[in-house]
Amino acid sequence: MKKRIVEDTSVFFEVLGNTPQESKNYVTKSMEIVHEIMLLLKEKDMNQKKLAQKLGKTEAEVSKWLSGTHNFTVRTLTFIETAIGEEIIVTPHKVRNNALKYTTAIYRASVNEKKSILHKAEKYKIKSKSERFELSAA
Amino acid sequence: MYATIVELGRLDFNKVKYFSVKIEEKEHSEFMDFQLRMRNFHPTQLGELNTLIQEIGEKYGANPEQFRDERKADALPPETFQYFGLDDIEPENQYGLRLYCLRLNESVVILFNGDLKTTQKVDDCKNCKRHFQLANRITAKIDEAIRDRLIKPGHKDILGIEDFEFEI
Repeated sequence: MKKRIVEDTSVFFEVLGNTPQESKNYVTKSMEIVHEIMLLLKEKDMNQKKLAQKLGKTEAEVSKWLSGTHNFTVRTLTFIETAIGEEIIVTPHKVRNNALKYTTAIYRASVNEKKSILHKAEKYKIKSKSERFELSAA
Repeated sequence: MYATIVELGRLDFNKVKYFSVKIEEKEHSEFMDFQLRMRNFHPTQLGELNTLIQEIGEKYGANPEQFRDERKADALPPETFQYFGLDDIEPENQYGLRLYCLRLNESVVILFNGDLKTTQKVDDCKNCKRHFQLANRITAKIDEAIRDRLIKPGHKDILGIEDFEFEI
């Protein structure tokens, strides 16, 4: 058996290293957006055909959009978001606000839970006292 | 002329391992020849293409919709892709770089050669025509070898490439 030939690919990585960041981000983001749409379709139990029907487009057109690197306009994304019923792009500010709201809600719930436990304990304490009183009185 | 399938070192990502083809008497594989020829003339577009190769390899796997059909062979980038970087502003260069390849399964892709496409029909393109034809000739040979069980594409590997040599 001969040995496998493994070729040096340092030029590939050299080119990547010299590529403007915005160009790399463009490819990465385009692919992320399509991946997000695919995940949402799966979550909503929808396929490309159903999405095409909701958008009034052909299945072939929607399939092209979901090839991984389509240059979406905000208009098209909004139509897709509406058809799916979920947001595809959420701004970092909105994510932060949502996270803050979520954390506040969790905190409030924990405080309320604590209060309720304390209230129960307080009631138990009073009951215990009265029981003791009853016991001593007897 | 004879050719062999070669591994592309370090192009072994989480989800895809990339291979190429080396023709005897040529110094580099077809894919590395493409990299070396394009890096000086179209560095930004080549960088975007390499990012695409890396992203497919690392995160998504080689899904059919990420490739365009080129008769028997495939090519990158996919149909809807528009290059972001502008290396060339001449109108005849609006089609961008084209890299011919063969997607064998979700985890194995053989990258061939390519060039800047200057016309809508590949047969009219003086840059791409020969790479397109070679990619289709090689694809036919590889398909035949798979049918004859000389080589077998598996998960991130092609079994039997050590002893596989084909005439083109």
